[in-house]
Amino acid sequence: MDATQQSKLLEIQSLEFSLYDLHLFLDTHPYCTDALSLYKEYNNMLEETKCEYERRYGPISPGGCGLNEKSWDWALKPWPWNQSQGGMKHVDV
Amino acid sequence: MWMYEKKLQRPINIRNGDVRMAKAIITQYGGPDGELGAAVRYLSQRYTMPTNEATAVLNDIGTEELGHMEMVSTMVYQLMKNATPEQIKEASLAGYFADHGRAVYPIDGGGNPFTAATLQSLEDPIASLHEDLAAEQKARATYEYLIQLCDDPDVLEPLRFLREREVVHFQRFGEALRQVQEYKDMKKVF
Amino acid sequence: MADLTPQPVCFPINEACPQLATAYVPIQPWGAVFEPAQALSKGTLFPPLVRPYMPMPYKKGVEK
Repeated sequence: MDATQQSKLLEIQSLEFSLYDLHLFLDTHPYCTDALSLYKEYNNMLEETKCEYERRYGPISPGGCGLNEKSWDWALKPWPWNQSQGGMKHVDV
Repeated sequence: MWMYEKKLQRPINIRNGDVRMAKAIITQYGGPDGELGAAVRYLSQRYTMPTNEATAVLNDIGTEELGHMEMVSTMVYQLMKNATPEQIKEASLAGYFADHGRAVYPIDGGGNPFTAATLQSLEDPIASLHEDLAAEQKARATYEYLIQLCDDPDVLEPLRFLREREVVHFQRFGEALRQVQEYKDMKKVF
Repeated sequence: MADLTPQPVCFPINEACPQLATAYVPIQPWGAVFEPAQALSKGTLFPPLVRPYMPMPYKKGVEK
């Protein structure tokens, strides 16, 4: 996976992870308007970033922006455990 | 129902094979405190929770555990994929290799296949939630043992990530427990 | 940029009448969050939930 694709995928993973942690917080704080509005903000950013990525590199979700009429890339493009996605800086903790 | 997203929750790229580490890490796939067990436990308990919040917590943490199951099995796969039979013998994994080759199969650290015998799902939500709090602590502790066994940053970082998730899950189950306790107290009064 | 000044170490239980034989985990209040890239690196969006693991070097026969 080249550096550009790695960093774009990392951006999606970072956003989606943040969204999921927020999601779990909302499950136990269902009326927290601060969390709700941050969720909306991140969700919009994610949709855009994900669509951009899918157009270029193929699908992350089956029905997303990675659909093309020539080939079923869902099956044909590499699977996550074989993608050799590096590019995340090592941190001390 | 579940849809699959074709990406890992966090990047995993293990550049150096290590069969010994694979043998240890595999317990978080098929072992008593592993991610598969956690997913089955939470997704089983969610039906009989008395509040929407508790149901949501079980549903959504259960779902995240499926993603973690994928991360653990990815680590085992990457650690083993280029191993020679010699390396496998040296790591005392010849028995596993005879049964499975380099495929991923859910066992614990002692080689026992996955079992639901170490899980519980009770209609009593207080009991079930305490089971879940315990499960998260056990998983956290197991990741800490794995971290002690490891010195490769490519492996250490996903392990630290997975360990931190257990801390967060414990907090959510704790909050769900508070709400269920409150709900039960209210029911007694009215 | 989120305000990441350290959160208070103590979180109140906020239970009007804590009972015997009952476990209480404090409810997490809303607060500043990490930026997404840092959240992924730390393993959570929420600074107060970060609990790093630093194993003590094991000394045979010595209590840690």
